[in-house]
Amino acid sequence: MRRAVALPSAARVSPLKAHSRAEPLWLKWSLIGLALFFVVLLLVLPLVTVFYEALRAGISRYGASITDPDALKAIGLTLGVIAIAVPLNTLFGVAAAWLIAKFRFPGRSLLISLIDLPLAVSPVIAGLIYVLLFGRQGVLGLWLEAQNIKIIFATPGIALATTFVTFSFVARELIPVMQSQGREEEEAAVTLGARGWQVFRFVTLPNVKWGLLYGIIMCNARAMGEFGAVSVVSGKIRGLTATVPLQIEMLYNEYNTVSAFAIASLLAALALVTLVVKALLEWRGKLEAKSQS
Amino acid sequence: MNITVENVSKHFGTSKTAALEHVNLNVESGELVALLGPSGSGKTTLLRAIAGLEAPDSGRILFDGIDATERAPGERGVGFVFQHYALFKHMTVFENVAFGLRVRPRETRPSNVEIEKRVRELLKLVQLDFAERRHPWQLSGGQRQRIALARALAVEPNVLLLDEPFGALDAKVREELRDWLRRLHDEIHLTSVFVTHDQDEALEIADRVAVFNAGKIEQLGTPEAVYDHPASGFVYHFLGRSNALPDGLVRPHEFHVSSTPRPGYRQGTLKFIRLVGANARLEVEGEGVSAPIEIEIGKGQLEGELTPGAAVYYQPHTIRTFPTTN
Repeated sequence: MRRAVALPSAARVSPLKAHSRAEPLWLKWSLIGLALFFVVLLLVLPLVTVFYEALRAGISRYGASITDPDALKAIGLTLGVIAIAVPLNTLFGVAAAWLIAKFRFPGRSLLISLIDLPLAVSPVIAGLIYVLLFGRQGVLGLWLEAQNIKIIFATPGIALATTFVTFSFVARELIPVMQSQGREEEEAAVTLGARGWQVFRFVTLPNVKWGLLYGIIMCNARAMGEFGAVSVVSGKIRGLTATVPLQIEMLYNEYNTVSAFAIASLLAALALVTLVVKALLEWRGKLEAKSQS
Repeated sequence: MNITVENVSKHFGTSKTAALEHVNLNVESGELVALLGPSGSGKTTLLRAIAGLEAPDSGRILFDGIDATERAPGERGVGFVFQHYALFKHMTVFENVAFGLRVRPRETRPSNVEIEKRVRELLKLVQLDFAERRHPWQLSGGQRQRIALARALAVEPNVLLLDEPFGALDAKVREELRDWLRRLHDEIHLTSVFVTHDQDEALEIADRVAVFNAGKIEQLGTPEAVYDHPASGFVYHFLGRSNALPDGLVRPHEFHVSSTPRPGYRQGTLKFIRLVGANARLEVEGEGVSAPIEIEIGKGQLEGELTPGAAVYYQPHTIRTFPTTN
């Protein structure tokens, strides 16, 4: 709010003058220019290119690329993998964040490190670990084969690798939110007779809902785009174990640029939607935090 | 309901000093007891142990003679009021107060109409019936604490436990709320235990005061008893300002003062004098006393003219000595 109080004379200068006093105009504009240049070069141009290449051969070709049976299979597989990985990581993330934020127990710092592990390990290595563990030559390979369970080069392996890579997102988002929340509201609920799940459902969860949604969105975006770990465990069997990013790569390697970019445009569009939702969530969260302070 | 704390001890983590060390306390039905002590003396830990929010390492807590040590907080019939209110931020005032009734199992849960009636009654009791649709952040600190109290009372507890309930409030609101709580207690006679580090608060509203020091109850008694007959130097110090003279401890108001020598009076130098309302506050440098002596007497009792820097004669009329003064 503006106040009708006279400012000290030093502060009573025009905004432009105040800035020019802090740093020269040429510096300001060249820094802004540089930042814009990189944004356009690294973010905007590629995004435009994706849509340009996808639509270059006309809208009917674009539609045909997307409705190609293999492409549809890939989209279906990616959606299926997300339907496994995101709920799993949401459950795990909420539980882990709750434990870490609200309790002190032996092994707590180990758990924190483990949550960060998937971010530190290269996805390709993560994929390889699963191959070495569950593959035919792997530690559990023979036993799994005897049970007729196929993990590597099949959907379970892809889901597993994706879950591993996106393991951290929900937990990392929730831990600081839950920590800042403290224990008091939950203790109040307990003394009022609420049972464990009621405390969680009516007190803990509503307090972290924006952080949780944000974490899920980020986890989802990462799960859809995962390439490295999945490419190792999938075996890239077209129409069977190829997810959307793998399908794009295969098409691209076959010089089928239009189809590759057409499918890529789906992922790009999803990224844009994610950005918008993320911005909305941040805005809502901030608004609520502001009104409660 | 009668509360008995039996030989309760509690350690936190690896710290060597105990938060509670073999504490015994009996709170009579309908009584208002204050747990008074400096921070870290164990008073809040004991309150939380009574509520079931903290499990004692050893000892028992009994409600009406029945062991409740293993009972969950929600099954003890206690209402707990937190220092920082701990209201549910995302709920309206109404929903906050209704919470304890809404989470009951279906068999014992009142109907919506009954809940509404009960919540409105309580909001009227805490004089906040106009605020039922508001959220906690739209209320002042004092109002929030009254809502927290209404919420705790909604479950019809047998015991009311308050953890520094006025600690986060400013002085004026604090006093108002303190008086209001005392009147409320006189009306509903709910067995109540409250924690405070403010001796005035404890002495003013409690039926009995338990003075805590380093995990133990140093003294338990009526406000008059602990103030007039402190059991130790610690209690004496904690309950009010005091001066350490070579022959014992004296409160600021326990002096005679004169500007001329008198038999039995000691000599000192007046450092400072200030008239505050009906009283005069003096700071006197005395012989054999390291810190300046604080004296407070009624203006009418000042004999002669006192000027800073001049000699002044004082006589303590009540000196207390304790075997060990800490």
